[in-house]
Amino acid sequence: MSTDQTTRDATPEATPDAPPAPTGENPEFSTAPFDTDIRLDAGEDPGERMVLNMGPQHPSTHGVLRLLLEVDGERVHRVVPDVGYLHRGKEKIGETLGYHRYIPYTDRLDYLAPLANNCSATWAFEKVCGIQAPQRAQAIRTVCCELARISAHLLGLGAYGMDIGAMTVFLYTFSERENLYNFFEHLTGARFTTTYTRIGGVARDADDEWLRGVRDFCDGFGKKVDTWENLLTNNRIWRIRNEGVGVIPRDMAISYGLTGPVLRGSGVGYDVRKDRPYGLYADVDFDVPVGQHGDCYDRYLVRIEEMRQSARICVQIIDKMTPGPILADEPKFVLPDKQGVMTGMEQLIHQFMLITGEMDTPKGEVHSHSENPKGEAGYIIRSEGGAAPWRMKYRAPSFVNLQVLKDIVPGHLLADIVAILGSIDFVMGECDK
Amino acid sequence: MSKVTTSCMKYTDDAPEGVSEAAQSALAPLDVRWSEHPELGGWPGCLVETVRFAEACAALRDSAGFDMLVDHTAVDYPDRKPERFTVLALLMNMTTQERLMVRCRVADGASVPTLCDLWKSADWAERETFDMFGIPFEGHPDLTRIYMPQDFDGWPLRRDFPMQGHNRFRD
Repeated sequence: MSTDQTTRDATPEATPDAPPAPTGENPEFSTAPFDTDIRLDAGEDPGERMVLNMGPQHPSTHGVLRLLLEVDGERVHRVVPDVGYLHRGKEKIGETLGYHRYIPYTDRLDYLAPLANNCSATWAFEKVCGIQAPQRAQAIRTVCCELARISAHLLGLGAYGMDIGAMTVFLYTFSERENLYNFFEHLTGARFTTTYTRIGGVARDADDEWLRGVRDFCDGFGKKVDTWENLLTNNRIWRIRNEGVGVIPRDMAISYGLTGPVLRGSGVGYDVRKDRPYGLYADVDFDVPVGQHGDCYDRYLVRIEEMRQSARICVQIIDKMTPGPILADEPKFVLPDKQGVMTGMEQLIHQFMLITGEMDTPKGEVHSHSENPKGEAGYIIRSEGGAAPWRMKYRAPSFVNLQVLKDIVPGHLLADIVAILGSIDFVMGECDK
Repeated sequence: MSKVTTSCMKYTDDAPEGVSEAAQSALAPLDVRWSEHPELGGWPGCLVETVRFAEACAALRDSAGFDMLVDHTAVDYPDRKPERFTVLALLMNMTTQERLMVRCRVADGASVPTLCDLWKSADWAERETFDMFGIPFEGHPDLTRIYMPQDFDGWPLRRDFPMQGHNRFRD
């Protein structure tokens, strides 16, 4: 085809080589409507009701969540959440690649708190191998988990505020999050896809400058939280939009298997860090905030208080931290340190063998769970030996928490859905696995 | 991957340590077998007959206080005869934080009684297990795929499903 100016200006129909427009007859370009709507049949007498599609690209659905809403005017009568737009088959990948090579994939689960995912996966895999990370590695991991929690709650709070119209909070929390991402970058070399933990420890040691920086940050963090609270907690509009909206009663929360701040907002004081301590959570002193009414406002208050407690945990652990090894001395399962791999033949062979599957784990079933920012992240791993799990189930807290929408949204106005979604604070990367 | 024809889990008639009296007495009439206390750090578990799966879970919920269904999944052993799958349900007692893994075995194509009448979280949990393994849950109100497209062919998390899919879209 000639590329002179006149041809480029011509309309596409005029060019003889243009592909035919989709007609619906060619199965490759089907224009048939999706049949998902069939499941939202309004019943015998739909009356004034209509079915409204929200998402999967709606800004306030925080990712690719799709909601099918049956509305009568502004009032929602039924909601069908539709998930799965981001399904990547993480469990299948893990069962194929094996324990070591799965860790980078955990970054992409709850992509707002990759460090927490790295840690929860590694704690599970260490249980399979029957080893434990040394004290210093556990301390660094615990600090990382708490920083990840602060960072995830900051984003959740900022986006939540912005969806309801409190734009300023978003600017404050995001500039604070920037500080945290600088810490992550200093420690792991990456801001988002950290891949920081290894089976038996962590990838790099935290230097004194980093520890000092994090400690200073956590010391001054409470004051900053006060500032944001000034903007929201007694703000008249914020309270009207959130109080009494999206109430999850205690029994419903338990029956739906909710965990994390959503469960605690409904008055159940269950926290894995307290009830089944892992890492160094048994050695630190912190409170678990619990709501009373189970509405959006209580969930907001729980998250605010959790951020303060996280900063408190970090300070305590950093003060007690002692020098020591960051990788367990278990050559059967633990990768050799990177410096050795780069310079020594034996370490290189060792690393190669572990990564390519010359690793024999004991047989059995492992259940491991940890308190991620969104709720309880659990692993059920069935090991039949070898370097890869026979079956690895990841309990995604966002997936379980989202299901409650079916019961709490009906009866609310359309605008309240935005508040409810913000207060449940889910991440689709984790929900869809 | 070497061929695995049987599960590594061993079952006995005696309840392992850590199982509460209430849970033991709730399951006593149901003739369950208990998994040997797992060396790898899992929760205590038991194996029940498939047809009595929901019955066992109901007994645990009503008489032993297991009020939360924490997790639900299945394990596939393609070469195990006759029951290929093991369905797992992890229950938790919110008061005592006791956890118990209830298992049952099921053949390909056979169905498992649903837990939807017991816990609301069972709805999506069973849809996920159905979507990934193709195990039907009898009595489920809306057993459709949840992650994969409705017209997807195959059950992705079965061990014999190819990692790269059926490759039907190659050029």
